[in-house]
Amino acid sequence: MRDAFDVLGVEPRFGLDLTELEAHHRKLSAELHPDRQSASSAAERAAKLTQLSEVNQAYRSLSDPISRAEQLLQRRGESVPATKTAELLQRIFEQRQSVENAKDEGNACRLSDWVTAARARQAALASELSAFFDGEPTVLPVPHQQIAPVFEELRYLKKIIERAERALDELE
Amino acid sequence: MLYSDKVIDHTDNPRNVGTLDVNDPNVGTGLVGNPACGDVMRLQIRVDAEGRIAQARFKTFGCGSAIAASSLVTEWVTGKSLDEASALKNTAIAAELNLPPVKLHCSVLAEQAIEEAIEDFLRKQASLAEKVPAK
Repeated sequence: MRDAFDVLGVEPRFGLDLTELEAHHRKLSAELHPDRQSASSAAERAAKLTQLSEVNQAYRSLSDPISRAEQLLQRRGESVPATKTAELLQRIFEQRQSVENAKDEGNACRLSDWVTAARARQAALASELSAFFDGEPTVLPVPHQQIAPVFEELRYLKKIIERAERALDELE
Repeated sequence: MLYSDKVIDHTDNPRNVGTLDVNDPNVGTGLVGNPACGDVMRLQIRVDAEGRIAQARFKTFGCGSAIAASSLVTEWVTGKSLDEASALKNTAIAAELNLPPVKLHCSVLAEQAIEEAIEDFLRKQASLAEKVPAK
């Protein structure tokens, strides 16, 4: 099975240059675009169209840090382990509470402060993933269970940030 | 998406929203969540001397179905024994609320929440029993 890295022909790393990735995707999709296939047979055109949709899907999945990390794990024959951390859930619960409170109070200032802090946290978590995937291989490999809470927190944060930003849009 | 009348009723008038004292030995707290949708649900029970659930409270951050599922569970378990409450199945919640397939995970979450609350209560009672000096 070809994964998103294979489809786009990029090196399987977590720390991809997203600007480069975008340019690469634009180039590939322009080549595969139906407008460029006027001289081809119907079968060739259909094949290019399938390829185009694969390329688009691969690009979407590599642009998202969570699914990029999932694919890197899959390449190693591992999946994202389930985790159950009461401490993390408690923190997420409190985070959601503060977003809802700020939203109910119509406090755009606190909401946007929260989003800024949450984005910083997202970046910190992403750099943990980057160290895990792209770092020098350590003598003792980090068991992949250790990064499970990082994945989980990133997933929650993504949803809560979306929510906070929607609330901000409504307030403005 | 169209919510069933029962879901709308529970989201408009959620029953038993609130907090019980986490440190009360007779209170069990279940905190569960689903990272894929970002929902978090806290369900608490207070158990009386007869081993029945005297009070149930919840606080859920999530979609209407998640709120309705936890609201419904607090209604159902109040007055029940722990065994009766732990026999509660997510399928019954989903059926009562007419949840569509994409929202079934909300009923699963509510079932996990009551299970965890019961486990938490039993854990507390067990550790309390250990602390009582043997005579």
